[in-house]
Amino acid sequence: METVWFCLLALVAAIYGILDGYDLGVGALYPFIGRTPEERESVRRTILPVWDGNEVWLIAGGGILFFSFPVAYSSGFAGFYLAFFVLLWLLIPRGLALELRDEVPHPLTRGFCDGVFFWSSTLLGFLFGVALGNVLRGVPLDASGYFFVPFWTIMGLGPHPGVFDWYTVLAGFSTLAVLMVHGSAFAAARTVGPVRNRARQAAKYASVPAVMLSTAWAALSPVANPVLNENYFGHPWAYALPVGAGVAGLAMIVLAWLGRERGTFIASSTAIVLSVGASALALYPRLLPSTLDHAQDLTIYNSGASHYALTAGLVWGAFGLTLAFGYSVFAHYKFRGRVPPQANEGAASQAGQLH
Amino acid sequence: MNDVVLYSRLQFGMTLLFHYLFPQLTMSLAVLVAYFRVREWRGDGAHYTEARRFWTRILAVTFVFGVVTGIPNEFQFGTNWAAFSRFSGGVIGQTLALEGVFAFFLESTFLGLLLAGPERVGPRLHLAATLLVAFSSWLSGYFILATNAWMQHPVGYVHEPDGRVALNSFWALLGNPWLLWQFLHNQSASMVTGSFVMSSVGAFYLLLGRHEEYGRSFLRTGILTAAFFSLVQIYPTGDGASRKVFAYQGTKAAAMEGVFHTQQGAPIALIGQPDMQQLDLDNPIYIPKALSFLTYHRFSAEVRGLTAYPRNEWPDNVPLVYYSYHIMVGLGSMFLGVAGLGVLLLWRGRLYRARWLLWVIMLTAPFPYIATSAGWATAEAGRQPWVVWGLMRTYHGGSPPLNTGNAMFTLLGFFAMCLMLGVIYCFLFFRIVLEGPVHEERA
Repeated sequence: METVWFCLLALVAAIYGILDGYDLGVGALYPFIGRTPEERESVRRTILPVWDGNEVWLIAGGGILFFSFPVAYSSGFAGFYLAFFVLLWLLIPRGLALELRDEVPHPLTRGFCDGVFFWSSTLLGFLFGVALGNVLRGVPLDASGYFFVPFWTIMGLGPHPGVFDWYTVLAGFSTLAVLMVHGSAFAAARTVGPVRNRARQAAKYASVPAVMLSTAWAALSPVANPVLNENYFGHPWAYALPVGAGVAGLAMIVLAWLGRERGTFIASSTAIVLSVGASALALYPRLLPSTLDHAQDLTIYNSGASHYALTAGLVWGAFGLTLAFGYSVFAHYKFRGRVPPQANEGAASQAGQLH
Repeated sequence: MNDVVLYSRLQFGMTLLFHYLFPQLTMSLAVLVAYFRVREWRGDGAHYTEARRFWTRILAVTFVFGVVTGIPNEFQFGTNWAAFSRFSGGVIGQTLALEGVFAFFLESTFLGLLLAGPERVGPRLHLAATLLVAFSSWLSGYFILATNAWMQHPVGYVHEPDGRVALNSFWALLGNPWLLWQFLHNQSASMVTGSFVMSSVGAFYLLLGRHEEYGRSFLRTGILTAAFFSLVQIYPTGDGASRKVFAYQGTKAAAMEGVFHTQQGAPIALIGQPDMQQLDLDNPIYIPKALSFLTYHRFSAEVRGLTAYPRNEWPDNVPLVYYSYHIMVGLGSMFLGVAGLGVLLLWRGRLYRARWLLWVIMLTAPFPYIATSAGWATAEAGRQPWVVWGLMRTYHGGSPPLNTGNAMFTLLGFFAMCLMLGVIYCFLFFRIVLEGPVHEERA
């Protein structure tokens, strides 16, 4: 039962990576692929009705972690205290900048909102990679079951690392690069004209560093935490996941250079899912490895909720998550199609049909 | 550890109270917008289309603030209350995850469709989206109140050998006897907020002599709703919720009412200041025997005072509990008076010209927010010293690895953020109201 919830959490993380991944990626390239106000408006409108639903996968994921593995939730959130508040202080302005940009139709406020949206998206894309890097590398969990990591120590690995060290920073940059490809492929598939062309260019040029950085990240992961090799050494078939992610990455480069935006998006989505899967498999059955002593790792066995709670949760969770997935598909289906550049005279003229 | 828990309490209280300023308006406005949407659907005229658009704009802005200020709350259980989360996550993790899975997805998806407008998504789907957004915001309220209800009155759990608690009855958790009255009381309070905001905007337009057709319509819809829910707020929901407090939380009940000594035929204190040295009320005005009657329906019933309980089980801030409760009840009675008078004049056909009452109604709008905040302060400060009533003390619920410097850092950060967001929200709200439902050139 614990394993089932571990897989479901990995699934939620993968879906979150695909969905919020593209809107973060769009944000990180927003000022470059949209030059004029009309173009930016069209870029923004590709994500406006759906970004909130995408972000809910993160919020719900937090809820599911709390419910299924309360010990890992409490240790992790308390230990990454500072990192979580930085995350919050980026998520809050990002949502406001996206939604409120047109409430005051003045170039000054719009420019400000555009800036906030760009910077928060970029930093969030980077930080989610750093977060995954931290989980893979491990944290100084001691016998109390708690830990606390500062922002940085000496930027190196060791028993007492910070949130940022060379390994997690590498993870951050590779995630940001992958999300840029992913987001620009999405933007290219949903826009027309010069915006579409610039998005295709962005996907093209970002795809090569994205795959190079990710390969380096994957190759260096066992250096950061040797325990990540365990599941792979015993089970050669397990290499299918990271190798598959690599193949998807190469396909992403080829399709991006061919200018096949939908194909690029599918390839980047596949790469994201397989990378999340490969990371989850490397960790299993751990949720958070300890850098001090592997006896103090938080695993699905020592940090889970009771069997009854997990079983009850599976009944409503299977139903609820299917429903949630259905909503996401439905919303994306409703808001499909390309968004042409549009003049935006501001909220006053479009009250009621805001977006 | 002591300061860390204090800062964490201040931060949690501040962010939650600030967050809840927005959902209490969206939960009720979603219902009122759905009402306009249904009237529009039935073909009752372009008036309802414009009214629906206007309030959808306010709903949209408020919803965005509600969503972004809500994100920290799911995180803070872990960041600041790790020991509490570890202890009780096996139980309340259920309701928090349920809220995420069943309410948030529904809400975010259909809010996108609602805001896109019927012109883009089609009238039928738009109507459905409007109703679903209203439904999902109430569902969200139910799950989060189920979480709070468990902290107030834990049910459906067993103790595990490792000291944590585990769920043993899913339906007991969702059917907590504490929950029903708390939910109704809270939702009805939200309706009071939304309907007074709507009445207030209507009164403002009438006083200003602009958009008068809408002013009348907002005022009429608002004041009728406000009158109904102000009544429901006091009876039966307020009555029901307060009896649960007397039944399960004697110390909170005594602190709320300012009863220090057990007595038969207890009077109710309308005003007075708790004197924590003398353990009595200073300058009280009492209604004799009223508290006994209201609580137990007998004039001679015995009401237990705080001194009947050990001092280390008293709420650590008795005056705060007492004042918040009295502010809530005082304001609640005032709302019934204002809305009742409004309905009376509406019935006599004089409301729209009674400028003095329009002024009063317009100025009432901020007070429901104060009343709901005071109500939550009563519930939460009154729950002290427990974080989970009778099971875990707040003092033991904090995050062990957290130090005071980091806790103070985020507390200050959130304080600044709340202040800033509050100013931006007020600016946007007044801007929409001043712009009005119809543009001047079209009007």
